[in-house]
Amino acid sequence: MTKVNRRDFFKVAAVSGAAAAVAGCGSDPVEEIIPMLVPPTEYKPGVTISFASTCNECSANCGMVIRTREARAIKAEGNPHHPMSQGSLCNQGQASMQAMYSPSRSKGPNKKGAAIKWDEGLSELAAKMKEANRVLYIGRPQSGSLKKLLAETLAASGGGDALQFDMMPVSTLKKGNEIAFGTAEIPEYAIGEAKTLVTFGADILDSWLNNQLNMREFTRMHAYKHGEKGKFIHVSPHMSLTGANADQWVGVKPGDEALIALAVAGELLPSSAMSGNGALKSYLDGFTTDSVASKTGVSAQVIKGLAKDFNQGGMSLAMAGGNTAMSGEGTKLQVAVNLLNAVAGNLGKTVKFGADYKIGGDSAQSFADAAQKMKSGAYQVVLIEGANPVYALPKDSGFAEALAQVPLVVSLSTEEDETSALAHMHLPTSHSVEAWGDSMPRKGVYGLQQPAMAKLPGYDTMSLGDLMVALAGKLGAAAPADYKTYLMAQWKGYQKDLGLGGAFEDFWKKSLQQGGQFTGYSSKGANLQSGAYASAMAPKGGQTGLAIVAANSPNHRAEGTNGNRTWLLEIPHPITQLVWDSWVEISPDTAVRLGVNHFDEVEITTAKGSLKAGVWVNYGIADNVLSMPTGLGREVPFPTYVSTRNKSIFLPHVEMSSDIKIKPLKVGTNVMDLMGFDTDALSGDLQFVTAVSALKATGETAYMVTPEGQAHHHDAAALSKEYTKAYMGDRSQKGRGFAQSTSVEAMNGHGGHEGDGGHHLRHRHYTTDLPSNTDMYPERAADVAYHVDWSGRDKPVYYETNKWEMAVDLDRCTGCAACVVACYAENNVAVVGKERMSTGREMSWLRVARWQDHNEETGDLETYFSPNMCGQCANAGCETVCPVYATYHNDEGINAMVYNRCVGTRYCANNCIYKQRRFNWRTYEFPAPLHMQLNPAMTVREKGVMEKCNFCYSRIREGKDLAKDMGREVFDGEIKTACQQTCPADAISFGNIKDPKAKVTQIVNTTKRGYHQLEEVNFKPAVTYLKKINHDNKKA
Amino acid sequence: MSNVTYASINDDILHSMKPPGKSWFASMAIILVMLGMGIFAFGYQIRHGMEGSGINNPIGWGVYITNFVFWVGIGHAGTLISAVLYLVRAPFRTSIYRASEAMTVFAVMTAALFPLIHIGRVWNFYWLIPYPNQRLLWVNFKSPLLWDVFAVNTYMSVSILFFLVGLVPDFAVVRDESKGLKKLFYGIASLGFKGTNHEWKHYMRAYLLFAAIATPLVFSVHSIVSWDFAMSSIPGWHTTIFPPYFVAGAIFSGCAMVLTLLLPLRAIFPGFKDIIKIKDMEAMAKMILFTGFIVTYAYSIEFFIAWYSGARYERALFWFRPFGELKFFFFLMIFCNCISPLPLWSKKLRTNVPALFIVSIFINIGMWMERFNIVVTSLAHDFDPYAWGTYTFEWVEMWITIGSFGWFFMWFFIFVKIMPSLAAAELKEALNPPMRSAHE
Amino acid sequence: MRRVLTILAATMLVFPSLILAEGEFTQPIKFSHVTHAGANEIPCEFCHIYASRSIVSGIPPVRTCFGCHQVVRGTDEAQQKEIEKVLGYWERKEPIPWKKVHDVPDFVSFSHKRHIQIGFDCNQCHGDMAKVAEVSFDTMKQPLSMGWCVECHMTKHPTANGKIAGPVRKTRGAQPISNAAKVQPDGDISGSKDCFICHK
Repeated sequence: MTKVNRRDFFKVAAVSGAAAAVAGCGSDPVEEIIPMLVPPTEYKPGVTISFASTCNECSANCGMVIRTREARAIKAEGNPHHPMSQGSLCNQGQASMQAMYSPSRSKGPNKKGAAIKWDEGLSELAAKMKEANRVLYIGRPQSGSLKKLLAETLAASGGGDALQFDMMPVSTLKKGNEIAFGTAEIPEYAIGEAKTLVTFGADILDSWLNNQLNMREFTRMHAYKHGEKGKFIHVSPHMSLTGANADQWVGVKPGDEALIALAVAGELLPSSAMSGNGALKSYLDGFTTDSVASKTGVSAQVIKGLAKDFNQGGMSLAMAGGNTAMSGEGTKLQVAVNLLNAVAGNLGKTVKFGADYKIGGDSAQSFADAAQKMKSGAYQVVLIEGANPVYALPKDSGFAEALAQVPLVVSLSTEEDETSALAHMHLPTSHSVEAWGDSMPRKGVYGLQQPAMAKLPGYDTMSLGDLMVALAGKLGAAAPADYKTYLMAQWKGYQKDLGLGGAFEDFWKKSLQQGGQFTGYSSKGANLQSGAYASAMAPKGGQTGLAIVAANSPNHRAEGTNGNRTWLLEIPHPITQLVWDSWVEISPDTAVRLGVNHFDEVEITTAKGSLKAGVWVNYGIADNVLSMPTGLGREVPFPTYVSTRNKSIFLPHVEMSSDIKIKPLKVGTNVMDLMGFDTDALSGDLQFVTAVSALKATGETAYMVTPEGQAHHHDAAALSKEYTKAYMGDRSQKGRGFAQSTSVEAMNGHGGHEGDGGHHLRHRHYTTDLPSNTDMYPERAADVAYHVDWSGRDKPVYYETNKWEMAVDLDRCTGCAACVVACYAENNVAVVGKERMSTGREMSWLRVARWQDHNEETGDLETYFSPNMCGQCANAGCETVCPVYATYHNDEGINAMVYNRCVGTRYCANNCIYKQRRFNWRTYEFPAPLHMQLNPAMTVREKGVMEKCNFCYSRIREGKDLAKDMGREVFDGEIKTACQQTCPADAISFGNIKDPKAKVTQIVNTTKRGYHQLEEVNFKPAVTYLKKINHDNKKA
Repeated sequence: MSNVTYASINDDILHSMKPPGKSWFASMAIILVMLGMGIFAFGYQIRHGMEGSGINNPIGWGVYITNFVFWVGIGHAGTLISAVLYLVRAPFRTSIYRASEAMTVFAVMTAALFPLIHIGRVWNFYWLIPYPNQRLLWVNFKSPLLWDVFAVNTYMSVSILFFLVGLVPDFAVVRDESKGLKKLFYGIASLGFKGTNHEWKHYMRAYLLFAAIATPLVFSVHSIVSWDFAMSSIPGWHTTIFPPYFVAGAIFSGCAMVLTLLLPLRAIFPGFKDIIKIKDMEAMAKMILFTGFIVTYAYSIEFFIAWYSGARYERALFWFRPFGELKFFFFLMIFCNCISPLPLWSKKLRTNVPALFIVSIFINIGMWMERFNIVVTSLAHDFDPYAWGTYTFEWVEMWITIGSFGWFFMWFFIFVKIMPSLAAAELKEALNPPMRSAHE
Repeated sequence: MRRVLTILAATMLVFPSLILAEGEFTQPIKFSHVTHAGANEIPCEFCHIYASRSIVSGIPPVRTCFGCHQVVRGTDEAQQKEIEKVLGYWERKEPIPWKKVHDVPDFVSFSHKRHIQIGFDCNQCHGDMAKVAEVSFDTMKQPLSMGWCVECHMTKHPTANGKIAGPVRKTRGAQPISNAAKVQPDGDISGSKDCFICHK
């Protein structure tokens, strides 16, 4: 079905060569045109309608806006009204579309695959719950009304426990705050107001707490503005995306972070308001800079430097947390960092209490206890919703075995996963895009979640709320008609809490419109308790020897719930740029010591088990530490395209259309197989760091795939020892200045560099300077206009009212790749899979290139990101060489690509110096029901067609259309490209350069640090890049 | 000229046109299998898209365009020998030009297939042809690809005409020697040529005229093909040296191919030995030596300019060619095109048939590699290091390449059997006409 | 309610076409524009409600049919039979699977609203539907081919800003072309020649 559908989007029935040829000449099959029975009032075919809702991909519950066409959800975007996401949405949040249309969704209620009726399923469940003397409910963290309803339902069943499953180690944070401040709440960390931010392990840009909020705040603090730019230092064993954005990365052994924190606190104490505190002083004297330096191997000078930067009179901020911090010292680290904040006088200024963030779930320990109780038969019924503990928890948690002991296990998960496979009965709930709900991520934020579309046809599901209501009813509780009425009843209460008068209908309507009710909260400080510097809290420091860290990334979380989203697998990991795989990160020196090389396959053995993975040597990880990505090793339904890998080039490998099936495909390995079920002694959170007993090369070369060209290429530079000594290949820009940088000092007019002259990253031996005059030729538009002057035909008018241009601020860009997900979602970009990625058939229109260049002054490696999309060049190389005008320069400056005119000579791609064009080497499948996510405003391309970024022309068309309806010009900011819309760092500005007031015009005209990539080739791209700004030319 | 007479020439030629024997059918069978493989692979490619070939994202052109340029190159020697050498009255031309002209025609016919094979949606190929259509759309005359379409088609049509004109008197000979349907067929083919002085006078003028028309095309077509690359922006392509470099290379490979074809022909038909004399072959060898040096010079000057221009990307590329992961192809090219012809300096080897044959094979391989290097390595290693790529062959393009050879040889084998593969008439010019001696 | 909607939306999506040889089809119901638009002079946009509001004109929802036909039961035998079918669909809560005749390819974004708003008359592209008994490919007035679109965009609409000698709406709800300025800010109501206007 999906194939037929895909074909017909493009109107070429590729039944056979001959038929394709015929069909190619435009014989259309007769379409059916299906009318509505009764059109709803707001329904308009061909018009995008957006619904404000709440994201449920993780417990942060950001606000989101779901764009729908023909009553189908097609894209998830951030909700601008929402105080946390503020209009942006992370990779995983946007991939909720692929969760909504996930091919592994359960089709309906069933017992071990045998379909049943909802009613009988629920009745049976209710009956069993009644006779059970205790019921266990494991679900995603709920901060809203559902929590209450759940409690009521469990009460009606005669008592039960509810556990919230989330792997984010927040219990440690709470415990740490309880010890240090006597309050176990998650405070607000006002990153945006800090002058200096020091994170101890906390990967705030990857996964710690709400990474969208963090990124917004981080940009406020760290982006260059008015001659100022905050300083960010990352103290962690693993650099990760967070560290790659830091000005300084201090690599430490896992567990040593706390020592550093206390040493810094010791340095600051004399000048601190708490200097009078004798007990504190004597405690900190145990952690003198020198002793810590000798213990951790971090030089005293670095620690002193840290202290100096951190001494901002209360406007600095230290944060701890994240997986890498969970080395057994987790809680102590939290306490130490709290102490540091207290000493630096940050409490109440950058650390604000009273927000009471609801994020994360219960500690792993509580699940261990639950497992024990299951074994002992305390629970007769276990319900599991939206959680996959069997996958996520280490094997020796004994969770799976415990489940086997339970008489009735019922899965309420939307998708079929490792846990639901063990359930006796599966009652699939609808995805949150189809369901009502709400959430209270923090005090004063009431997020409302409304269904953006009706239930997915062919999937007999029930929203979690309705299911609970029905269950409560069957259990004999006084249940409302459905969950919506229940919800509205709750919101009546919220209206009172918020003290908002007026009719409830208006309140409700407004809440629906803006996605909830958002107010502030009264923040307060806190006082350091003496327990924080009791000897019990003294960190012992990390263990020596080889250790492995299970690290999260913007694409994957330890829960693994989105380990089967093909977008997130296809989009390169921001740091390693690897796709469809797990890998081991390892530092060059350690690699040399262990005698393993880049891309070797190694076998890692820990006390708990062993697995194989490919080595990815990276400078961004401490010695003697390994790191593997979490959330992988799950099965993804994916088309079985023919494989030619390692096969003869002379024998045919033929694929028939009938061969293409959607089969589960195992991607990478689950790092948790290496982890033991060790929990933090104080908080009970799971440890993500464990000792490695052995690591040896298997002698194989790992099948690791990356779109990064240099990864495999060696040229002159690769021969020069400078890059090879690190055994990590050469990931530099070869001095070609794709991502350029300058320094704060230079921007402020001193510090040895002239205004816009950034320091050139170390060049290859064949470096030359750019030619001074690149304007030998006029812009083609002018040229054409001039040359058709003599002809009678009317002259093409270029850029009369609009010329669309873009500015990308590399100082803001964090490289999180949310823009790439948005691009995939908006433009129906096909997902091609690992093998096709490996043969250079990737389809991504937008890539966030990651460069690791040597700083010419320090010689250290530094990480830079440059998001590259089609430049819509004014002197484009692709336009002139297309023999059929399939690509041409339109009068608004877009390098237009008319898919159906393309005959596929690929000359344009060859001649594109930015290599931004993508060719359809085959017709790709969109496994059902993923095809329903396709954006009707974009053609779905077929085999043999070239495609590329068009600055989201479908959105431009939509915006102009709206403006015309209103009889006005498009105003600035009305049209946003998908990548711009979702960028949490506001790195991308897009608009009409002919409009002097437009933001992009302002930037391009006023910036001192703008440049075009490959300017000397004179393609005159419409994308202006703004240089990265570093503190005295250094960054991590 | 001793044992060659009017009669013997006729006999030899007619002998070569005798009904084919077992060996001919055997080889034809193999050829058709090769062709079949090509057709199957092409069909598969049409149905499933280009992914059966090794071309990928940075490297949009691979074996197909290599083959295209290769075959167009082969197509040069023929017209060069028949037209240019005719104008400069080179004596050694007469014995070989017919076969090499045939080679030209068939090579260009092969080359003309590849632009179609390499496009993604071949069923829309007609969009490349300028004609008034309901879409009111026109083609982009700025695109070098379009110039190709014209250049190659012009060259093909002219060389076919020139070929047929040359054949007229010989068809007449065959007509006279044959009867029945065959006579009718060759009668039509020879346009009723009787061989009167009057006819000869006009015929020679016409031939001269065609030679004059064909000559500039020899140089234009490959220059235009080279512009496919020279007009682009990619380091390794964007260079002014290409037109002369390509033409020289084309003649180089063309002459090699002539040897590859004529030496076996000479062996198969014993009679030809006296006509296609070893010194003609030697002349070809000298031509190869000469053009080989032009090619070698072109290679070295490319490297010099890369260094001298100081262009970063150019330098990186020309470092990549000998040291990158595709270096095997580069050094194979250097060996075949620059080293392997050197033995021809010695007259002994130059006149030694096996030696000549081996060298010619080497050069054919080498010139294919040259085009492969230009097309692939330049794309593999251009401006953006992040987008660098590499290339591996896949079965579809392999089979299509094999098929193209099948296609070429199929025509050549047919040619040998239905057309006089030697220019009988012109050979006779070189002899004293048979006269009855006065006292007899 | 919503469920019904999406099922329909989905069916629209999943069955955009049943492969049929061109022309070989019959409409599920013998719907006659002659009766509706002709004899009873029902305006086009009474049924095709989205024509001036969206890119598609929209096929009338079954409720619209039912709205009249619960009262109007037809005059002769044949009509009654067809109307019975309509009511049947309504009772079964089934959409009517009309066959699409005026169909632009899916790689084209044609906007009805734009053309209606600047004062085109439906007839100019669809022919005088009031005379069409049963819609089929034979009754199409225009080929809806690219050449036909482009030809109009290029010739009938001089791109000289806004001064257009374009077709003026003749029938019901005719609007003076003078409000063009309101329709297009620069007053230019000529058809654009940019391929990207239609090719998405």
